[in-house]
Amino acid sequence: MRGAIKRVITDVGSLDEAVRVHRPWLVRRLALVVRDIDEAEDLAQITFLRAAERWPFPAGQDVARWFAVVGLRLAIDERRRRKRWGFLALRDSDQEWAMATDPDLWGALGGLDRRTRAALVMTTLDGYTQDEVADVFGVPRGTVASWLSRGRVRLRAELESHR
Amino acid sequence: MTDDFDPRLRDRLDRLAAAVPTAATDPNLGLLTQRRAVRGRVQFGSLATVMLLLIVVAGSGLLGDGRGGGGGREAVGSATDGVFTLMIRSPRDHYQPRETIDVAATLEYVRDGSIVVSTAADVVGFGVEQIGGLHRVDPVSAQSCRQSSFEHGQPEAYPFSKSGGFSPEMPDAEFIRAYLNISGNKPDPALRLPAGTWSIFAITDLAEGDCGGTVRHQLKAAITVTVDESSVASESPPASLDTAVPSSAPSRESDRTFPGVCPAIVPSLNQCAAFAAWAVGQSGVNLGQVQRIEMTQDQCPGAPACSTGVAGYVVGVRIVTDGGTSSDQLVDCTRIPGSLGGINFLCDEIVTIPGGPVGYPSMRSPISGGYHDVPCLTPAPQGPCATALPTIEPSALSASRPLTISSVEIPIDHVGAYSINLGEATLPNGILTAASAEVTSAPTDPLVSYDGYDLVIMSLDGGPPFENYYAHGWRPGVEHVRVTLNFTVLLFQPGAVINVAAVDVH
Repeated sequence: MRGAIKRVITDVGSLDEAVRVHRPWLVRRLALVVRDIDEAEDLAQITFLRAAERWPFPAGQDVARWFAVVGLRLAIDERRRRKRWGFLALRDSDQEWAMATDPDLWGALGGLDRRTRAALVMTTLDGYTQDEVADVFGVPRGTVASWLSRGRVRLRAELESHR
Repeated sequence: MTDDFDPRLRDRLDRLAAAVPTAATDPNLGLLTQRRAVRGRVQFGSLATVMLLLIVVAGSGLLGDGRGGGGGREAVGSATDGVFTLMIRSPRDHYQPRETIDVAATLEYVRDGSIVVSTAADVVGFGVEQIGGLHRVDPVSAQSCRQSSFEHGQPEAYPFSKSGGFSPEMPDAEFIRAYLNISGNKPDPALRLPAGTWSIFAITDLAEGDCGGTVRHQLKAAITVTVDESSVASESPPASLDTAVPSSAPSRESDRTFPGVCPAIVPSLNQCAAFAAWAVGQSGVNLGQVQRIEMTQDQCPGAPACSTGVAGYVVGVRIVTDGGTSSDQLVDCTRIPGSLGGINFLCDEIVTIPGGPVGYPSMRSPISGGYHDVPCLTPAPQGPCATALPTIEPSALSASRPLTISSVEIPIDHVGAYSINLGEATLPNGILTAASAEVTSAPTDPLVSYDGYDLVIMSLDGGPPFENYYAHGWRPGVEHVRVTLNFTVLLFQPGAVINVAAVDVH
């Protein structure tokens, strides 16, 4: 599905079918951004509930992109919301699945903020352009470019130091 | 950057993404799982257990127990989960602006023996929230871990402290700046608040044992204080629940508190207002006849706690009308019809989402669900009920006049229902082809009730409701209609407006 997710206009007849089709990849994307499976599952649930409020989508609606946009926006806003509660310590939990697969990349991704991780995931894995990412987060294209540039430099430094 | 870095990064990200374990997708489970913690989520590991929360609000006479109330009476709030009790106190519940508000909290281990717990840098944090307004400052704490020991019968005292941060682009930056009143890189420790009614709360988040402890205790206790220029009232008999809010009927919609006092179990005043609005809607009481709304937590079925679990709140709402009648509603935010399992506005804190295609609240029109036969035994297009739509006569089409509004600004000046006349249109042969509008204001300013907006099309020629073609019918010539936008405002700031754009009815 690399590079093709956002361009798939899935003609799903029911919301249940849409959830079945899109939930796995949405949870995976969100898990890379928020670095926690439980939170990723929760955000995916909220995304689908938002979809339920508007279902059925108009014909031709890019359902996958809609889910990605909403889910990633929620991921960023959720961090801000939780910081507003403030007193609750925010720290990563141990994600065994990540440590067993690529601990160096997982550790390096932890050094990036959520928006940079989200931008990297969207452009690197799903083929979004910088303009499209800018539209998702409501920022100028140049801002996205700087996120990606700094993010890649940092990742490269971290990953190549472990070679 | 090496030539092959991006492809290698992509491959590694791909493998990492593929390794994410996802739960089996049960189509019936997909939208019904309630996984969120009562107040946000703290990542103490996937096995974190949140202790059952029992919150008793005892400030300002909410429970009619004689404590708090109007005037210069002591304000006390407490919360307990059977292991720890958190209390917050102020010697008075009435202060003047610029007067230092005296607040402190105590935390007590109520079981026998002693216990070691881990917390962030501050064991107890303090915050303030404006009742009936939108100012709020939550405590923040450094992401460190400290351990504390508590002995039975030896409560620890915590004086009020400020924490928080702001950036200039935040909507409430000026208030937070004034609240913190930073000098020499430290906030002014004195608590002073501007005129208004304020909830001052203390919260704690304890993990038994080490910082990664899986047994946690999260408590929040709150008091309500009034800040105004009037002198502090003399001691008076204990206030009863009935007199905790003004007893005379407000003369204008905008005079009503909505609600007056919010129970501590509900994390935000916006949600509290939503509970109240929902209860009013369920009660059938005309909003214009509501004199006051009281919220309690003592009307829940079952025992011991009024909680539906990790994601919900159950709140008792009493609606008292101008005529003196009262209606009690029990609002369980997880059982709101149409909430698809309970994760909805009432359960959740508001998540700010930029406007656009995912805008909230929703906009409904007579044809937002599409047209269909009434009744239809088999969904179109497979079923036999996909009746052909009636034809619009060219002469009727040329005689019709659509309603098209590029943008309109609706000033908000009261809490309650609004019915805005957007204008009139004429429909060819009485057929409604399109009815849409967009709300481009932020969804929480002003705060509109969960059921969103209704674009109502009403016939001025005596025709039936515009539900769909088949119910409304066809008529020769044109049909005159009025277009109205209905919604309910729960909370607003002075000067608030709702921006409506792209109104299209034809």
